[in-house]
Amino acid sequence: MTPASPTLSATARLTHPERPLWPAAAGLAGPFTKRDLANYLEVVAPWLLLHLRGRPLVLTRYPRGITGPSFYQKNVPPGAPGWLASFPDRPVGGRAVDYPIVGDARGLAWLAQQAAIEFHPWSARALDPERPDRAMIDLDPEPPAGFADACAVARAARQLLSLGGLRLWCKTSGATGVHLCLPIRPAWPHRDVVAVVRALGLRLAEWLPGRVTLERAVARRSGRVYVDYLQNRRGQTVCAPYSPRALPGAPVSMPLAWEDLGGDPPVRWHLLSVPERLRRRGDAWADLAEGGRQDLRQVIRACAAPLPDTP
Amino acid sequence: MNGVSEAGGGILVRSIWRGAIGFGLVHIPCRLYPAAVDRDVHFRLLHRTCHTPVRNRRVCPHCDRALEPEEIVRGYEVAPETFVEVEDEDFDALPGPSARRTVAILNFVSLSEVDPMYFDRPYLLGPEEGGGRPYGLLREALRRTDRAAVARFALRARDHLALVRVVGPTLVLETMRYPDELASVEGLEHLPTDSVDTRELDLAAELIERRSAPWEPQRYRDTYRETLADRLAQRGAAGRVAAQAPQGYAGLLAALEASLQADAGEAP
Repeated sequence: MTPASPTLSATARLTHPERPLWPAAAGLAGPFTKRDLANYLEVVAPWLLLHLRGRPLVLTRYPRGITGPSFYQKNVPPGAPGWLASFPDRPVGGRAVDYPIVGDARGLAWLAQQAAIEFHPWSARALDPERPDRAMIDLDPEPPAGFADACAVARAARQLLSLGGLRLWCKTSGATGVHLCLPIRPAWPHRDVVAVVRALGLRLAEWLPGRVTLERAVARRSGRVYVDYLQNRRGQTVCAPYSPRALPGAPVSMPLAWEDLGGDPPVRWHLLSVPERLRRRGDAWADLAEGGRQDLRQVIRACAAPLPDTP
Repeated sequence: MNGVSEAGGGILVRSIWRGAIGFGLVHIPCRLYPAAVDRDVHFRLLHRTCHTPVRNRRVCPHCDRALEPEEIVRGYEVAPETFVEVEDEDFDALPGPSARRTVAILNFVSLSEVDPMYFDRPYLLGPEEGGGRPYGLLREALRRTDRAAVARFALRARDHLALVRVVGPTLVLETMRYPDELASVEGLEHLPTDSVDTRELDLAAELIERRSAPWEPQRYRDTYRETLADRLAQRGAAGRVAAQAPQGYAGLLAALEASLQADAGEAP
C-alpha cells in the first residue's frame, strides 16, 4: 500500500485551516486545528481507507470544534464534489438516504474540509449491503467500570471465540471502551449478526458474572461492561479504525495487537502519536484481510463449548 | 387527618413545577410534586425470537409505507373524513397560560360542596425555601375557615382549574375537571323515584351503621397487582437461572444455528 500522494490533499480546498477543532485540554495532547486533522488523515490514509473504501459512511461533523454543535450526517450534503461516490439506500418502509462513500485521499481531504471528525462506516459493503462482512462487538464500560474492565472482557471474548477457531481483532474506542472486529464471510443478513453477537454477549455474561451486561438501560448497567450487540443492526455503525474521536485530546480509535491492549491509557493514541506508531510498528490490523471470511456459525460452536477456567 | 403521609408509602419524586401561589398581594413561592404514584405493572412488547423491544411505526394505509415524523401532520376532523391540518402555530394564537408561574387563587369554597367526581389528579404543593411563613399563613387560614381555594394555573402549556386544600401539614393541589368533562346522568335509565318502605330503610340504615368503620386506607391493598408482580419476579429469578443452565442457552444456540443455516448465502 503506497501512501496517498501529498499533492492531492495539498491542492484540496481547506478553509479556516487554523480553526481549532480540539481545544487545549489539561494533561492531554493538543490543541488541534482543522489543518492538523487534514494532515493526520493524509498520513493515515493508506490504513484508514482500507476500512472506509466501498462502505456507506456516516459522519459526525463538528463545524465549530468538539465543544460546539455537532450533527450526524448520513446524506451526501448539497454542494459535495461530483466525484464523491455515494450509496443510495432505499430500505423498504425506511427513510431514503444517500450515504457518501470515501475511497481515496481526496475524499479524506473533503472530510477534513467538512470538519467531519468521526467516521462510522457500515459493517457491510455497498455492493452487498444486506450481508455484513464483519461483526462488531462494542464493549462499553459503565463507571465505575473502566477501560481495564473493557480490556478484560475483550480478552475473554477472544479466548471464548478461539474455542470456535475464530480470530478477533481489537482496537480502543478512543473513549473508555474497546471495539472488537470479527471479519466474516458476507453470507448472513444483519439480523443474524445481531443475534450471534447477542449470544456471545450472554455467554460472556455467564462466564464473567457481574462484570458483563447486555442491559440497554444505562441506569441498570451499574459498573459492568456493556456488550452492545445492537451496533450490528442494519445502518448502525461503530467508528472506523484510526477514526479520530470528538473527545478532549483528539483520541483515535486505535487498532492494537492483543499483547498491547491495555498497556497504555486510550488517550495515549491521538492525532500526533498514531502516525508515529504506525511508522514504527505498522498496522495492528494488517492481517485482518487475510484472516477474514470466517464462518459466523463458528461463534455458536464457541458458545456451545464448555467454558474454560475463569479468565 | 394526615392522609398523605399515612396513606402514601411512596417516595416523594422530583418536583415538576416551580412557581408561586398568588393571592391578592401575597406571593408564596412553591413547588409542585406528583402526589400519586403509578404502581401499575407495565409491560414492554418484545419480538418473541430476539427479545428486542418492538418499535411502533406509523404507516399510511393508502400509500402502503411507513412514514417519517416530518411527513405527519395533525388533523382535526371537522366532518366525517374531512380534516383540517393543524400546525404548531395554530396553538400560539390561543389564549395561553396567562400567568405561567402562578397558581392564581380565584375564590374560596367549602370542600363539602365539591363533589369528588371533579377531582382529577392530586399534587403536593410544598413551600420553597424561605416561603414557609406565607405558606403557613395560608394553610392555617384555610384550616380555620374550613375552606379550599379555587385556582387557575398552567402546567405543561395548558391552563388547569385547580383546588388547593389543607391535608395535614401540607397544601394539596388537585387539578379539577370542568363540568362538561363529566358524564350527564340524564341518559341513565331505571333510576328509581318512588319512595321506599320506611321499615326496610331503617333496617338497611342499621346494617350500614353496624358495618361502619373509620377510613383506614392502609387496610386495602391491590392484591391483583401484588400477585402479578410477585409471580413475574419469581419467573424472572427462575429465568436468570435457566439462562445459565445448559438447556435454556443451548436452546437459543440451536435456534440460532437453524436460522443461520436457513439464511446462509441467501440473497436478501
